[in-house]
Amino acid sequence: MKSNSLLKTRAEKAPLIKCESHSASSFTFQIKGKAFQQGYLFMNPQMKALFPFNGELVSITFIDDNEVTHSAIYQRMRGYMVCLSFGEWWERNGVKEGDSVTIELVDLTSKTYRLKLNNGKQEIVEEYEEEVEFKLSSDCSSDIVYDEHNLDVLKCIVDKKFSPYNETKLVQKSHELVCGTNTNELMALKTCFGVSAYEHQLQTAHAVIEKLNGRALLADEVGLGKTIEAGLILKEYLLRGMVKRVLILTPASLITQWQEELDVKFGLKFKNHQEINDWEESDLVIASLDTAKSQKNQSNVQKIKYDLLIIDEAHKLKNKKTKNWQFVNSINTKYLLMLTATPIQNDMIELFNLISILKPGHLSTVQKFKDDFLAERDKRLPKNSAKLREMLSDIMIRHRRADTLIKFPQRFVHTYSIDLNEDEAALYCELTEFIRKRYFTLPTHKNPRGINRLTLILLQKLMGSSAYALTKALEKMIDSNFYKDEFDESLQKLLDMAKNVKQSKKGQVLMEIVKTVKEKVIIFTQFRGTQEYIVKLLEDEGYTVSVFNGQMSQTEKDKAIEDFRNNKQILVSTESGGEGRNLQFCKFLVNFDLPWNPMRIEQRIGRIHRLGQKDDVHIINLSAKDTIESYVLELLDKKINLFRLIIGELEMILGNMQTKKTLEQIIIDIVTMSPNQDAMKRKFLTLGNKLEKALQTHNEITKAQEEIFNGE
Amino acid sequence: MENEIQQLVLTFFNMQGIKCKESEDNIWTAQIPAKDQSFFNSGAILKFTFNREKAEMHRDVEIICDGSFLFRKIIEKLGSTPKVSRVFIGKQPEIPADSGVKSLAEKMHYQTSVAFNFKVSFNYDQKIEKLYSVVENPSDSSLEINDKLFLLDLEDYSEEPDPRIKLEDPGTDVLKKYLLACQKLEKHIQEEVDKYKKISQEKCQEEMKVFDDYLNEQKFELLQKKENVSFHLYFFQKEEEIDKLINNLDEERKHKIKELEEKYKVKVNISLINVVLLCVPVSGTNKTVNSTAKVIKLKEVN
Repeated sequence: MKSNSLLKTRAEKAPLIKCESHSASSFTFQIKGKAFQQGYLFMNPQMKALFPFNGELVSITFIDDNEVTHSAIYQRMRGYMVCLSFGEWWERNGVKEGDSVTIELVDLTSKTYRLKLNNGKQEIVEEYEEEVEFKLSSDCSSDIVYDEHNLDVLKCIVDKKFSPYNETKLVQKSHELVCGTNTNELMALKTCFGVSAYEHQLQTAHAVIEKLNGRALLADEVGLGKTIEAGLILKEYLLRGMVKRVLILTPASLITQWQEELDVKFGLKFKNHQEINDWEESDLVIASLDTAKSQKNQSNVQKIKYDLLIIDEAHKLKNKKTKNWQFVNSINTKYLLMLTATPIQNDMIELFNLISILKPGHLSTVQKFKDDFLAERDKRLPKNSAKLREMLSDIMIRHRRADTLIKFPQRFVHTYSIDLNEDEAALYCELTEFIRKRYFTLPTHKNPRGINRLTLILLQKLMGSSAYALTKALEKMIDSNFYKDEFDESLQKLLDMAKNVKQSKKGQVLMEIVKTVKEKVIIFTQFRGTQEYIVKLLEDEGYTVSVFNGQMSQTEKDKAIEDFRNNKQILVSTESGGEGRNLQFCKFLVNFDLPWNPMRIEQRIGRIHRLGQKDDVHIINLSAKDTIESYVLELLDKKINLFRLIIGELEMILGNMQTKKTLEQIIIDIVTMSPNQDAMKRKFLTLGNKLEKALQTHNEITKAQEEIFNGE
Repeated sequence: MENEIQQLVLTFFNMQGIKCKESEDNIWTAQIPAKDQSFFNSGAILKFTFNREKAEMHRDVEIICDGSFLFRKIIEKLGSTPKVSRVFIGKQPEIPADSGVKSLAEKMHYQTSVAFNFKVSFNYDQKIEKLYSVVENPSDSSLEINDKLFLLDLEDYSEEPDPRIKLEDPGTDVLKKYLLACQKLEKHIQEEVDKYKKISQEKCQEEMKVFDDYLNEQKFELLQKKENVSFHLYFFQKEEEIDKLINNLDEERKHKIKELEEKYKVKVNISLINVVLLCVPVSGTNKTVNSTAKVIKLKEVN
């Protein structure tokens, strides 16, 4: 209070301005006293109206007749303005005390005003002809920006809100800790889980950030962890504050996998396109390329300035004429990562087209590229590969498994083809027939698959898993009273049959396997019912069992894994992917049942056979003869060697199938649309041939990559 | 570094009035009040650890380390908390009771000098952050700039003034000093800004040239094509098509140049971390008399 009165007295003693005229957007006054020259402008109430801002301290920009910018701080409560360069302006324009000056509002949003001398000496004093260097807090200044928060700090002084020095010191310490970080180290590594980054992955992250300016084609051979590399780069950029807005475009089938990996391994919560209402509002988005480029979303995505764009399976942009290519090329982004293990599939021009998005012109024009690098005999091979490799090194990173010196353990596959017990086989036949019949008599013509389609398929899958799981599901269906009449009767019949199954043949085989192995084993099943059954079976025989499923809390899951690692011999799990947990201490995996989606099988294998596994691993499949599962198994094992593929390779092979349906959808169609067993077998055979062809294409592509990128 | 982070985080919790204790080996439990739960993205209990291995084994325990989510939140929170401290250094000289001299307090007042701590972020293709302080010399009010933060290296200071000594409002002066400090800082960093600008411009021009050549060659190829279409039956249609392609190239150029300029633009952000007001009792109007300010030193912070 005392100081307030002191200030008032000072202003009263020396009135610093005299109003001449004023309007809503301008104010003309006579300068009096020395204060203005010294950088202060004390205002009267009419003049204050020209600065209708709420904050107690506000940054104001003045532009004078010479287009020089003056930055000021306005102290609203006390009604004065501080501006260092008022004095310079005074000198430059030869202002005299009593001269008339006008302040005009230019733009209220940017708080910009014009400062005009009305009757002073107009010519510029020579010695001040050069530009005033000092600029502060102005929107016109493109280089230096002052944090809005600065005024909050100053406000504390004005309001006399002082903090204990220890707290002030703590704020300071936090900045020192952050600024003291060694930028040569990857901060991302410290906060990632389940990521044992390998030398080649670290090299990639460093190279992209430090040498390639954040735009690169990551083209490691499959299985070397391109997703981890992209995740490391992404996290590092986020931690360094160089990236805020990120878009990941990936095939629809991989969205969940990306989302889970980024969450579990890197602690990054990405939203998928279904979880967002407004693309503009979300900083971390993952979507399929098809969704992003759809009519509904395209213009929204193109409007946004992204800091980082990641394109997974980038070989889908191989053709410049496609909408995919044109759309991705139109996205505004500072950094861009394109991931593919096969930058060239059929033609060298595909590589050219990918690089054209990353760094247009890097490989010159199409015609020149063709002239310089394309061999006439084969579109897949370059004629000047050494030069091309050199040019590519500025934009592309490719590691081969052979270069990494990482020991990839062998995978041994053991398949038990099991004859079902009589009662099990009878139940299987009855159920399959029931499903086929029901499927062909589903409600309407318009909706032939009806609401029961999923339920029917689920019943089929449950039967493939265990009679116990089927029993539980049938009981629930009957108890729900939803299914009536004839349907209900059929269900009751199936339930009775399922309940009568005394012993599961698969269960018996499993017990024999566990007895022989005598080491840690993970048993995977798709269903909780089967999980309960297996656990009971094992515990009754005195085995120590850890249980892991999706209904458990995070703490329970942690405990289950820790128990398995330290105390228990067997882990029975219903979840195959996404947990990112380190289970490499185990080398035996049993597929008690087989998902129809091969990606799920790959994820199961990936839990133990991944970078970091030192021992050879054994995959044991239990398959009942003449069941759908046995056909699926034959398809995946015999036709594409699924159990021997490197993690990540499956997606590439399936990508060569030229179909929009997933393999699981195709299998479901075969199962449900085949009128009888023979027809089903024939369809599976045709599918097998297609898969074989896809594998062949994949092998040819892989061979071509070798020749191009490694000259071998 | 780990210890420093631990110390900082525990002090932060303490400052926020949040109780925390080490519930088991290397795992800490904090009781988070309802109002802060969304900030910490937690429930009433927040479990955290500074140990990576512990965090790997217990996924429900939040890791706090350089770059972790929680650490960043804490830094963010601390950074957005405006902090100004006023410290009083030196005391009124003690005068023996039997000396016959009255207290000097009446003739004394506090002289305030100020220390601003700044963080400057240079953002271009890379991001570099540096810390500076601008400290007022109490003897002549000049401002000195240092490439480190100001840290009060004194044990003996008070946060309360001696009530007998006059204390003036520093508000108006500090605003002006702040502007002067900014002016000084801008001059000081100009060389560095120019350096980054040069690096950035070179990279940008290099990329721009490659891109320009690429477009020009493409344009040239298209124009050649256009010359040859006169033999085509629907040559006017073909010509239109080629013109459209040339237009597209121009559009692409605009789009790309904008993108490159944005990428390589050097942006400097100056943020005021905190301010320390140093009040020293002086007698009379001569600011240099009896100033104890000489003992205020900058502590080396590395």
